[in-house]
Amino acid sequence: MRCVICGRGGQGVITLNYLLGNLASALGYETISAETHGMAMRGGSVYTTLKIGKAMSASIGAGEADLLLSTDSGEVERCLRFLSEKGVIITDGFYEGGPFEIINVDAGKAAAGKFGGVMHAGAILLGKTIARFPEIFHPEKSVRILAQNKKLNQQALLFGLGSDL
Amino acid sequence: MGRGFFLGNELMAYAAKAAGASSFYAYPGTPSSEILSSFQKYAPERYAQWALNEKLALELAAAAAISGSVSACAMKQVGLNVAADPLFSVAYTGVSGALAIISADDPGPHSSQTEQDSRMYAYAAKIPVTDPANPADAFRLTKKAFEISKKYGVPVMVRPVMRVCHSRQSFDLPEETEAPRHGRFVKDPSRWAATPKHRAALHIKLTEKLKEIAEDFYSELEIKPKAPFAVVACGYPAAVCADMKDRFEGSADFIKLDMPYPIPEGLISKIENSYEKILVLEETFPLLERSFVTRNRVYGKDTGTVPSAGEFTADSCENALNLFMEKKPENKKIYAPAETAPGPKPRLCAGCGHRSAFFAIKRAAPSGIYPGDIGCYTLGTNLKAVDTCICMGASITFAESLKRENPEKPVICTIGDSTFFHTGIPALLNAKINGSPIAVAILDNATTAMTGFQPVPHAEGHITIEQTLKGLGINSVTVIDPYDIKASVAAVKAAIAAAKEENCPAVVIFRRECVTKTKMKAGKPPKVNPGCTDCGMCYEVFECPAITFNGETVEIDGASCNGCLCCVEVCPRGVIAEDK
Ligand code: SF4
Ligand code: SF4
Ligand code: SF4
Repeated sequence: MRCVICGRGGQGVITLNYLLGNLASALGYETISAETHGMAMRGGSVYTTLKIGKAMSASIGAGEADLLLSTDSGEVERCLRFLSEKGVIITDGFYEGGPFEIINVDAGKAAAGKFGGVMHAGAILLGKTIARFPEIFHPEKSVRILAQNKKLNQQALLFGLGSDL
Repeated sequence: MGRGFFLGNELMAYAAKAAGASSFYAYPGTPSSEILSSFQKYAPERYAQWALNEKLALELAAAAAISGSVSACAMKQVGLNVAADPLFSVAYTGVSGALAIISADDPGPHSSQTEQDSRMYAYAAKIPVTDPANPADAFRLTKKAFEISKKYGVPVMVRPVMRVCHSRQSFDLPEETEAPRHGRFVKDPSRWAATPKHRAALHIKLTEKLKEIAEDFYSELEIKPKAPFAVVACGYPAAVCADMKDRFEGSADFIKLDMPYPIPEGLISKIENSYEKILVLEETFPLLERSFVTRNRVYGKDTGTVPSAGEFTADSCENALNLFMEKKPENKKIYAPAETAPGPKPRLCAGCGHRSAFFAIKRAAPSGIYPGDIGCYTLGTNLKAVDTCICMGASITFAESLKRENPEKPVICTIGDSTFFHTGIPALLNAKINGSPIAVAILDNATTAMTGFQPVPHAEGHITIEQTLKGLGINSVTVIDPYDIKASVAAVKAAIAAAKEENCPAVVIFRRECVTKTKMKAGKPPKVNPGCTDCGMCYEVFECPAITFNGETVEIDGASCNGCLCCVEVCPRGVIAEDK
């Protein structure tokens, strides 16, 4: 599975990339990802890539990604070139366009309203991703693995996993 | 230790531990910064130091290795420029323990001034260099670098690119690590203090060793041609290309070379003689490509098959393979707008003290020239308060010379605290002894923020910036909180006047801790009163990211606002006010 995760610096894109990659790795998959640090972290557009399954590099070419996961609907378009026509978009906020399956999630609002702050939006998006790809992430197993992560808001994760937003 | 999802930088640090490194020295720089902190994490009992700059880091590690210990240093590619002097010399003397020099390149560039190729330094200095393709490879090739260094007594470079440093990969950390190796210094002046006479002899020895190392390293690599063509790759491009093997299998053999320098001559001619044509993939300079002699059958950067600038990507790899194999590109369906609006540009954080310091500098001397430096505060370009940015420490030298060339203009340079200690000190001393009437703003945020909040020299109370300035003979020194914009403007004006009066640099220290590091709020967000004229001062010119214009008036995002209240001073209409 090839994923592109995008958003703006400071929205937790790198953390989300780590959480998803670490989860896949803990589930036993060979996993590789690429992050961008430095200047890009000061509020600019950021994207990271992640490959789950055997690969030597995390580089993804045009039209190759299965999933575009975005913490900011305004950033989706900038990474659309990576997405295959059968690809899935999961984004905070609202996006429409293209032949893609689109899952819009009001993660930021829900996180701020229910779970104590926008910083927990990532946990909701993570839950949504696990729920959308159960054959890869085996939700019950994933929840057990992620329960060990004390920094992750478990309520937000379960909310993302379970309910229709 | 077990399985995990590790950064390339973490795995290189672990490899140093596994190879018995007893000390590690570094200066932070993206993408290399996490190497030293990871060494501290994995080997807390061993010695690790953030040196003041890369030249010091390399010298400290080299001296340890000359003393028979196993040591390492890490830096980014432009840091290696600073460390080039000891690099070339230690190549000749060699070491008696082991020395690995990790120099991380930044093709793109993503967070650097240049896309330079550290491997060219290895080539120029005549030291071996390994070129890892991904984090797991970085672990293996860092260990290998220590092995070569131990066996042959030469320093060895490891050159990861950003996509290796900042990639994560699932990896099983080996349990076994070597005990840290400490040596004792054995005097040998003909080596460690070699005069030019002995240097020639050392050079001859080094050249011989390189031949042996090349043969030794590649002794197990066999070239068994199955296809008419070959794709020869090293480093990150080899990983990208390996993931596309299905596109050329049968027509081209894939050969991954882990050490682009030195390469045995026999290996090069063997490849040349075995294939009709050869595509070479590497970053960023065509080092390996130019090792081939029969140029007309070799494709790569010099033939335009691979772009000569910019980062190597899956798309550039595919394009190069198509050109090389004379295949038509696949018709992929891409549903993306042909052009997207440029993304939001990076900005200083809400409440960052640098922002108000820049604002005050511009207000104090609107016609001034503002040489800048390297760090978060390079983003002062957005505020039009940074006119030049060349390399670490150059703000002060540029200020001195620009003032000489433009005597009628006030010249105010900005330099961060870490950069000041890195290379700013000799520059300021030079300006002092040459009577340069410049104003120097030291932006003291008590951390090396840009690269991930590494400690600064004055963090632990061994030295203060003020003590340093005193030693440099700078008499006019004002310390100011940049949140107090009025006082800041006055301080900059006074510094410009004092510099002119005394024909000597005058310094303003803007002291305010990095808010992103401290995660502290300075106060409550201000309130917005009616009367906004959309002049753009607060959200465009001052560009605090917490402020947006909603079509009617400005809005302040309570969550990201730091409560610094600088916008209150900035708004010319008094619309923004403290919420008492
Ligand atoms: S990280 Fe710190 S120094 Fe850098 S822009 Fe943000 S607040 Fe300023
Ligand atoms: S007080 Fe004003 S300038 Fe400071 S962070 Fe908040 S909005 Fe920005
Ligand atoms: S500076 Fe004052 S008047 Fe100008 S846009 Fe901001 S709030 Fe409105």
